[in-house]
Amino acid sequence: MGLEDSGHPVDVSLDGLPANVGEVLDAARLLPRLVSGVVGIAAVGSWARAAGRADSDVDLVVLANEPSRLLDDRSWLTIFGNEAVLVGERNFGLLQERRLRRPDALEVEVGVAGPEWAALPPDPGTARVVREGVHVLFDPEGLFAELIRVVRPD
Amino acid sequence: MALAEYAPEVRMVALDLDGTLVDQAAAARRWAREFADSHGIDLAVETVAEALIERRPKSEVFAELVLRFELPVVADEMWADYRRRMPALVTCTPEDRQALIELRHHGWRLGIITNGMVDNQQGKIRALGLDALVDGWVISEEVGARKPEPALFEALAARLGCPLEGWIIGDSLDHDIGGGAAVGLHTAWITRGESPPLTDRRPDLVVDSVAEAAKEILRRS
Repeated sequence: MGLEDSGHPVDVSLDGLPANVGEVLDAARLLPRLVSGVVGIAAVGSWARAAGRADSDVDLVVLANEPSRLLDDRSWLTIFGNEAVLVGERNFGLLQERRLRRPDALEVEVGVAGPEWAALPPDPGTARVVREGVHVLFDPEGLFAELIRVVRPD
Repeated sequence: MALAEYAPEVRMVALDLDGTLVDQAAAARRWAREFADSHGIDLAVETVAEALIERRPKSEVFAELVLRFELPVVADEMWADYRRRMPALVTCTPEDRQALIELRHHGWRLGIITNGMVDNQQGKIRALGLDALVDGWVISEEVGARKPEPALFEALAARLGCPLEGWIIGDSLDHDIGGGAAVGLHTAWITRGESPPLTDRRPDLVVDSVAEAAKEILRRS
């Protein structure tokens, strides 16, 4: 039941993030303490490549051995703020998305998937997401690190 | 659980579980001590027990406890341990059990109405033998509605096979007394040492136990 270290280092520096975006990323790092079986967390999209704008969403990918633990029980969503509300759900096949809106209008898209989302060789959709920017927050098994090494060998 | 035969002339007594039929606070303290000992962690037992009897989803409570006290455990596993152990830790007084027998003997149909998860709540009902003392129960997770929503009360009446008429006995002014009154039930409030409200939600009975409520219900019927 013990917790592991966050593991492998982040991909790129995200210095100078808006405070509310930083709050969301800090909150995401708490997830492994709330839900068992979380094996990877990363920010993706515009904020992950340090190109976010004031109206940009925060996009997260959470890898879990049992995604249903996250998808069926939504209480963990409160880590993004007690006032955050669920505003949408989408199914992308390997990845299920939960979309939240905070009172400050910042939207957080949390994509939940099993470790197979990061399996090698990568799924074309996974590879595209990684090429467009990834910032690793929690990766004790090195799933994201290996994926990044394969998709972006430079 | 088979549906009871519908009996329009029969009325029901709906009973809340936690804090009403069972002493949830004492059981929560026992669990917190047991969990702290078995995991070798320093846990503020009283604070944890107080948090665990708050009327809100337990998954949120455990998430807050893990983060607030920086516990070296994962919140959902702690919550699962609590659900697994609580049926063995709760108690029901002999007086309250006898009261259920007497209410049934006088023709009342009895049903437990509780917010919570099926494994935890049904585990407590069965471990205490309450399943033999009542005519049925409804649990919010199974029904998809929580007290004080009328749907959970309606589901109980349907399960008991009688009209939604009679009494609710409970310790929550919002969930039990407010919810019961809204669907037309008479209300008996277990005080747990609190003062009765001075609002229009004032219960019909203010009592210390299920046994005391049952005695007064039988006297009035």
